[in-house]
Amino acid sequence: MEQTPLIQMQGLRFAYGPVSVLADLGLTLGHGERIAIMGRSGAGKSTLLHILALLQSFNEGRFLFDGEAVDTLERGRKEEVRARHIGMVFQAHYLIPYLTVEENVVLACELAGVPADPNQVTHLLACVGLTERGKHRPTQLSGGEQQRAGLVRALAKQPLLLLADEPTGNLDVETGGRVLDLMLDPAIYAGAVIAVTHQPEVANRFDRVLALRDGRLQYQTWEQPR
Amino acid sequence: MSGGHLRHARRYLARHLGQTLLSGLGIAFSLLLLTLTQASQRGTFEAVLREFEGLGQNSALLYMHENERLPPRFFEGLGRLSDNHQWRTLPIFESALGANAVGQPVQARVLFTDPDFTAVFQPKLAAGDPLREEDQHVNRAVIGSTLAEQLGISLATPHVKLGGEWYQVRGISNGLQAGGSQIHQFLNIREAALVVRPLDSLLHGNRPLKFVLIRTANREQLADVGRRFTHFLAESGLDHLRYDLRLPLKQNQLTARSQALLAAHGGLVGAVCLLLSCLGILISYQLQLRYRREEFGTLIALGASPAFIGKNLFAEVLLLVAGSGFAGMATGIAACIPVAWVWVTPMSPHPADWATSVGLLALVALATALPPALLARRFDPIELMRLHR
Ligand SMILES: Nc1ncnc2c1ncn2[C@@H]1O[C@H](COP(=O)(O)OP(=O)(O)OP(=O)(O)O)[C@@H](O)[C@H]1O
Ligand SMILES: [Mg+2]
Repeated sequence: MEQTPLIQMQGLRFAYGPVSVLADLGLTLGHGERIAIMGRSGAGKSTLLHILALLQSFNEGRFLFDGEAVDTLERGRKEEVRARHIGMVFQAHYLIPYLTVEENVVLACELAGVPADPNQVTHLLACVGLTERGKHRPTQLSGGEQQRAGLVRALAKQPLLLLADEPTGNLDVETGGRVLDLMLDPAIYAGAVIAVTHQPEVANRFDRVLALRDGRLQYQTWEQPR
Repeated sequence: MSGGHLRHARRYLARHLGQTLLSGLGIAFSLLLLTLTQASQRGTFEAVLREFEGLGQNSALLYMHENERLPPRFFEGLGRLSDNHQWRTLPIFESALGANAVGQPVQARVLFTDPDFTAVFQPKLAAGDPLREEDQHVNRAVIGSTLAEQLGISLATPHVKLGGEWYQVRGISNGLQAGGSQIHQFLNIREAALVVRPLDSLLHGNRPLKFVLIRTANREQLADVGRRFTHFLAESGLDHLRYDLRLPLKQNQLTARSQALLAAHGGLVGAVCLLLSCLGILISYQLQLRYRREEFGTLIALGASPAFIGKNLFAEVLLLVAGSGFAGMATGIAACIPVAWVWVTPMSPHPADWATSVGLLALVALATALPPALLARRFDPIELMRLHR
């Protein structure tokens, strides 16, 4: 039997009042599939991620998350799904400032309802090169280290879907590359990834690259800027 | 709310120690004040109770007080004690009647009694004269000589109408107008005397007392009693005269008592302080709801609901208020000993009072914690998430 896709979107429409953002958007994403989404500023990429994260409701269309119709989910259930199955990383790290790196990770697991396995947390921290930094507060880490800690926090609960909004946007090329390596290393995380990025060299490392244009997702065709 | 919220709150408060201490200080101080006030009130109360424990059956309590009325708890204690001993308590009310020559109304007083008083006292004499048959049915009063003069009352015309009722002037006393002497209570007594400075009427009165307890804060008065003590006892055929310098009317303890009264105001000050502190915490959290939006957005991204964030904030405020309150209470209880020692005032910390404080604290904590929690529920997750770029 074929596995149901993780994400099925059809005819999705969303507008901020009169400002139409997504129109007749379709997206199918299998388990473990990794895609990048590109598009000019204001195209609606973040909005789409918010819808994918079950934060934003949409006006029309169908959206199944792991086979469940999202628009019929109860309020509490949406949060449950997000906490358990969706990890998010952003351009900046957004660790909770008064918690140590480890506590940040444990908090995410607790919210997900999965007990944080200390061995796994240690393993993940080791994978991202933060073995010694688990007891440190975010302010004691560099930007790249914070971003990696944020990634560990998103991955520790082993979500089905990782959403990343310009995860390397704030980092230099080398550090950004390292974060990307970790995110895409199947040994660390085997689930699906949807990443928004402005950088073609980042996007190229994903299985598929889609462009959000006129409210729809299309295959990216490179129009090289000379 | 679960243990998770409390653990979060504990961490948040512990890791913003300066902020926590600053916001908790007011609450702690309020509870400290409240605890000291309660201990002082109870201490005074118990001291008053102990005062009366020594009274026997045929006792007259002649209460002489310089210039202050006794606090209500004096009467509460007295009432409770009389109940325990099945004593009969007869109130004698005092009232200012009019101005004296100097124009000070407080110095012209009349003492009213209720009908029970006359029943128990069975007065046979009115200022030395045999009581007329018809006079036995009216209320009786003792007034000061200055007032008697002003009202034109003499032993020949002993009636005065007060508040629609006729009173017979039972005695006219020199010195009553000099102010201050008040009989507040009589306990199961058969005969009583009004004692005034300089004790002349007591010494010259021909009332057969069995036991006289004189309380006074006045050193001269004591000297008077001391000087005439032997002579007086022999002359009046009294078993015993006891003058008593214990609380709350010792000369030096009068200050202690006024401090105890101050402490009663301490309760009020404590309440106002508590209110202001809570207001401060509310304002602080109103601001925190703004500057912690990034943190809240992160929690939303991790799958928390606004209600969850609300519960976190609720736990924070609850823990802050309760924690600092308990710290204040503990300090207050510990401070009772040095306070009693330094200010020579009776302090009696008691679990019942602590329970009251805990109740009050719980109420205040809930009332302070609720608004931030409710406000947090109104967060728009998307708006919070939009901060995350
Ligand atoms: N609360 C809102 N009310 C009205 N319009 C909004 C609101 N939030 C976003 N928009 C609009 O929706 C459109 C899509 O916004 P979105 O943030 O998804 O863009 P984006 O593709 O992520 O852009 P960027 O690359 O700059 O991050 C923009 O035109 C934006 O102005
Ligand atoms: Mg965006």
